[in-house]
Amino acid sequence: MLEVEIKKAVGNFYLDLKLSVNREILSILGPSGSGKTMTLLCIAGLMRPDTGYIKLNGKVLYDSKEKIFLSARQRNIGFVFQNFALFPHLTVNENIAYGIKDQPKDIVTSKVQELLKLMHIPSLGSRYPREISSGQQQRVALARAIAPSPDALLLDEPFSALDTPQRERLEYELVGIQELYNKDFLFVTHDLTQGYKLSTRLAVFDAGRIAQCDYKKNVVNRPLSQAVAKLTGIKNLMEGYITNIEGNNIHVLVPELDKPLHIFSANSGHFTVSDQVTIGIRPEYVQIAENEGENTICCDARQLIDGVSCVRGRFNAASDTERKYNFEVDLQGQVKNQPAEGCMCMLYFPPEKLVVFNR
Amino acid sequence: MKKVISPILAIMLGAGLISGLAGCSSSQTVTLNISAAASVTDVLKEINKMYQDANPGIKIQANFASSGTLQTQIENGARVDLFISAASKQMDILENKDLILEDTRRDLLNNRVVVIILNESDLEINNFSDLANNQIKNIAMGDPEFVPAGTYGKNALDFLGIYEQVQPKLILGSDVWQVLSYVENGNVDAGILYSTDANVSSKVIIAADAPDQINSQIVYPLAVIKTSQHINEAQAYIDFLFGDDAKNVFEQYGFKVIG
Amino acid sequence: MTESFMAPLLISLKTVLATTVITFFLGISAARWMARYTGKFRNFIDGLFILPVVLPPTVVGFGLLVLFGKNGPLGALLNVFNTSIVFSWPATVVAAVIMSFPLMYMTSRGGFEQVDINIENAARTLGASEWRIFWTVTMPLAWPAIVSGTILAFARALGEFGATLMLAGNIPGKTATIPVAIYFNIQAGHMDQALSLVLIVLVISFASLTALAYWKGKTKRTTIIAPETL
Repeated sequence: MLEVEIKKAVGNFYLDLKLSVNREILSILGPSGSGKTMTLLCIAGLMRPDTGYIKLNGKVLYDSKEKIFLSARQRNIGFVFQNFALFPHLTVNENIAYGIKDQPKDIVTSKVQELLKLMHIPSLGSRYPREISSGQQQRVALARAIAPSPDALLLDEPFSALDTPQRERLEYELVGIQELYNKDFLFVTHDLTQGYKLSTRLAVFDAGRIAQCDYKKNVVNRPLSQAVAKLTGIKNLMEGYITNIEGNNIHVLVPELDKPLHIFSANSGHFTVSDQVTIGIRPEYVQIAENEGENTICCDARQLIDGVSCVRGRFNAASDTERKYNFEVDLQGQVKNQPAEGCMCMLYFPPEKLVVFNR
Repeated sequence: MKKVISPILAIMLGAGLISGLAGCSSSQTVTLNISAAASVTDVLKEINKMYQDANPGIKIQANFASSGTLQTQIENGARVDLFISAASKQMDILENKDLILEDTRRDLLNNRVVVIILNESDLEINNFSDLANNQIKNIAMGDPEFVPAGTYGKNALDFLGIYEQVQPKLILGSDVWQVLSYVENGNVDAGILYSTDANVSSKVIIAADAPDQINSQIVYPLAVIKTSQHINEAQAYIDFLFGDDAKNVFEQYGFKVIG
Repeated sequence: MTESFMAPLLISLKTVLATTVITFFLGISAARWMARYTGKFRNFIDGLFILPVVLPPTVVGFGLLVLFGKNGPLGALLNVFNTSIVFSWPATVVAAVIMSFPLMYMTSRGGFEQVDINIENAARTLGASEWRIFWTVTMPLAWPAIVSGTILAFARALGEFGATLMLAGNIPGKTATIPVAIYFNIQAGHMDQALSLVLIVLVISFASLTALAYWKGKTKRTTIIAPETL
């Protein structure tokens, strides 16, 4: 188990987080500049936090109070870089063997062979990095990082330099590798879908802090803040205030829409009446309604865009106010009710799919 | 054709005008170019000032360096009217190459080669031959090939039979000022120079003289260069050098005027 | 006391060899340090290291003479051990090292800075010591720059005159290197001697620069470049 609690200030940027990884892949999600790479570098021992501690399987790697700081060399934590960082002057075999050079020669050879097989590149051993494709290079980087049997593995957007088929294959394989080794994997990505695929839990970063760290379903369906909501793809944000709370049912009035919206939320205990809140809903959960009713809003279909696997629609709420809301809807599963561009229609927001958080 | 001729004509006219003007200056001031050995720098500067004060129509441009360097410059066509060398060797070379007016050649000065040391030095040097002692680690001297004080220095060492021993200790300078500064800075144990050079500096003293047989050979010849445009003025200057006024100044600086 | 032909040649070879070896190690060490140094005095130290290449050699020579002379701090120190380097063969090496060091330093440092820091970091996470990283990762990747620097330093040491003359002086058979001998031969009017020595320097310098260009061309074709960073 990897336990991290660190703080670091760099200029105007403050890193302040606490997380733990336990025999799983934890994905760190966040926009660029939010401190994801810095966190990995601190855990690996390549950067020094200002205060805090880092423990791996009970062994203290860093503790500012006890003045303990193990160098990267002593931590036995593997690192996979975004740009592979392979040794260009060494062959694939030599790259992979680099971390286990002090072991007997025959063990090294067999370990390298075993890893080449695991990564499905058995014949590339004597090639140089410049002679193989980027997908293959990243496999070598993975093999190299795993070779010394590290206690944990850190991956910094490892697949962003790859094309889609290479990336998808490696994502799939990475899950298998983690299950095989059963160690702590920390995976940094800016792609929600990728993070969702790979991990059980997600940690969402925002300006140096963890905005939410939870099981992926919770992060996606019950974001705790607007930042998390935005990162996890919740759109259609509306601002209003709570008029009524009954059990798990919250009623929010959005001034520009003429009636209150009903939200069903397990977090209702966190809110009180007249709280200023923001509501949102994922595009794929918005439905086209036949008739007016609860949680329906009258809109006209401004634009319908044909995507590969869905039709995206943009709808304008019909209202007399200055501020007009636009809604983005994923019309994938609703062929029969699909409106035509320019026509009026009714949008329905299912109460259990609406998310609400304090402004 | 016209386009080519006019610029050429203009350039030729210009050149002719400029050279004519240059020649014309003889009606106003005459500039005498004198190349003189480094060792007479200070004394000649004083004498030249005297001469210019007395002869307002004459301006003296003096070039001081080691005699060998000056000789090379004259051989390569430097515009010099008068050459004063610190040894016969350089003047002989010029005479053999027919670069001087032979009947203007005269020996002007005597000098002596000496060993100099820093005032506060505690080295035991009483004779020139003491230079061979082990306690003297390095000695500065002008390069005998082209610095007259060095040539005579080497002659003195040969004469005393100690050249072989001393040679590895010699640091060769390109002129006497360099030798003097080596000694003044304390980085060499002793220097071989003309006595007149030693007199210039207050930081050094003369420890020993070269043998008389060598010192008596040292003469400073002078001569008018054949290509000079101001032979008369040069001759008048030479006469002044041999006169009583100049003689007093020379003797103040430690030189002896010949005849 | 004309210089025999062989003496300056031998002295120069000895000097240049010693200088190149010393400058090689000094330059690489300084370059490695400065490539990753982020302290406050970075620019100041860098300027200090590069200074000799910008100053006239005689100025550097004068500075060295003041430093190592009887009245200078280092000279006084050496005096305690009853030695002095002024007007001795080691002085030719000192002068040449000072003058050639900036070239080795600048070129090597450029080479080190070009090495992707992620590659060095990867080596760290794989358990390599800084020493091992330097020899197995950094040096091999910076090697072309290091070779360039060495050859430049070599050529510079071969032609070094001003500082050498000031610190080592012209002692035929002991400190008169080829450039010093050329100068004094010209002064003495021994043009043919001077010319032969000039030709030697020309040939050696030209040969080394040509070798450098050839070697660079060869390595370019099999260049090892790290994959481009995103």
